Amino acid sequence: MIIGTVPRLAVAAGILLVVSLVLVRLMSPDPSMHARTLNAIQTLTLNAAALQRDALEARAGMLPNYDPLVRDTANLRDAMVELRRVDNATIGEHLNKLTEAIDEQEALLEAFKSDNALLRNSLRYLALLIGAPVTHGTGTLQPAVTSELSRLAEAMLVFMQDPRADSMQQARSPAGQSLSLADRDVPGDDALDGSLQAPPRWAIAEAGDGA
Amino acid sequence: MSHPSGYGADDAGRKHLNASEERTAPSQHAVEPISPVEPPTGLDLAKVRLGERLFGDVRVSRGARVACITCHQLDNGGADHRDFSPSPEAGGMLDHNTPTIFNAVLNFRFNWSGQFRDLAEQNSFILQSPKLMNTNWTELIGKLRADSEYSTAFGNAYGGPLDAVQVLDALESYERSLVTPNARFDRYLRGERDAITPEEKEGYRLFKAFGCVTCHQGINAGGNLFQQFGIFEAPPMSEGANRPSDLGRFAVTGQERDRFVFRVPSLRNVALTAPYFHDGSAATLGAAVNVMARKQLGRTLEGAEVGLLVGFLETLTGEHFGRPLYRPPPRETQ
Repeated sequence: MIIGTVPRLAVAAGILLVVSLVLVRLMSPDPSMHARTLNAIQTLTLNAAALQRDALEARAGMLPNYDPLVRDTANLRDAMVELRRVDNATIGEHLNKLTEAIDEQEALLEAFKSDNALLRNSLRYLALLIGAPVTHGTGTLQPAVTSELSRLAEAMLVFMQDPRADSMQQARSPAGQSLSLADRDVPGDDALDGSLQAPPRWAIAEAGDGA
Repeated sequence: MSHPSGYGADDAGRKHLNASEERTAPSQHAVEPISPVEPPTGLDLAKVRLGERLFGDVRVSRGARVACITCHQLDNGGADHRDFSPSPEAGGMLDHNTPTIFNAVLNFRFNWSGQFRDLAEQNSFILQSPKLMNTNWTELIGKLRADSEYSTAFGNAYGGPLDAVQVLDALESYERSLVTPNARFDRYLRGERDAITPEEKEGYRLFKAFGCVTCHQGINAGGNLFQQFGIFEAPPMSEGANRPSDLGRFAVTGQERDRFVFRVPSLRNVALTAPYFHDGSAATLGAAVNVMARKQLGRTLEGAEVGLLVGFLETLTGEHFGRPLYRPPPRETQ
């Protein structure tokens, strides 16, 4: 339930209804129009599914970049443009509703991409942070700080599985003192703490949807 | 409609996703977050030439004082090396830095606020904006039809009388040709392991380790999402911001969540497009890297780290029609 349950269901329902209407409407079709319309329907259904798949993969960190999500969205809109060539008021009305659902889904998708990028940034930075030698300038490892970093890493893993506000709180250092900004051997840990200042917008949206 | 992939279009001019083909095609760079730029395909050279001519023709502006190429200079990385570009039609200066025209077609939205979804929409706005070309379609079409060479060329390329749709299509055709493949980093991604130096590889490793790549990814090393400018530090213009361009997408949508949110710029050819950011506030690439580290990562980088990152970014400079992009001399800093 990455990018909003309600818009996704609206898109799916809209596609099903439009497909049904178009197939009935085109009982005696112009062959060329028929072919283009069926192609558009296929594009619509394929890309709606691809969008969900790619968003899930992005959330799981399995998608190398966001270009597939951009292509999926562009293809959805192209298919809608093609479907509007069907000259039928009833279908047009449903296409308007479907367009609204796609618009809403796209807005959530953009928010997801932005927030997911920040999450991925935080995770990469966490890996860098944990890998940095914690010596406080003494030349020896500092067990207390190492322990705190391990706790932070564990809490971040929990947060990734369950991105709610209370999980986020568990990832915070209790007082912050043991990971002081003044410690130049622990680069910018406040950056990671700062990244947990607020839950990402997509998590808020999901919480609001009850997902 | 523009598609951010560099793929060729089908006969209908649209890209239809063949999900199974795209996702199973083997690729050396399949696991890297940045993918190489492909040479442009599916171009109609007659339309590209028409677009190129329009791009450099001052008659597209009402007062014949400015053409697209005035700000999007191909020998200046596709920009103009200024903090803000002048506005000859309106007087004074524009309120934003000119982004590069190279690889613009690979972006998912256009201009700093990501206001436009396709090149035709953006170009139509630019032509009619009082601060930019300040013309209208009646005036512009009249000028072009009065030129027998344009009339003949458009007639041969498109058929029918010259109109706004053809003008926009010609401009878009030209912009589609302005992609820059064969950057050294792209050659590295394709398996030419010696295309970049060990230091540049280390710069790429830092680029990924610091998380820069989480926004600057994809075929255009950016350009495919929105992001807030100023995560760990407030944007420099948040206090007393008096330019609409400083507010990012908020100036377009009016929604509070879009305040200081910008379309992430591409880093392709970034070594050639100083100064940086929407307000040209970073004079050098090193300065821009430092700003990004502070504001987006909450980190102050060591000088050596900045040097490595800049070295990597320089490997993103590509070629245009087989010729390396011209590197302008460094701007004198104050």
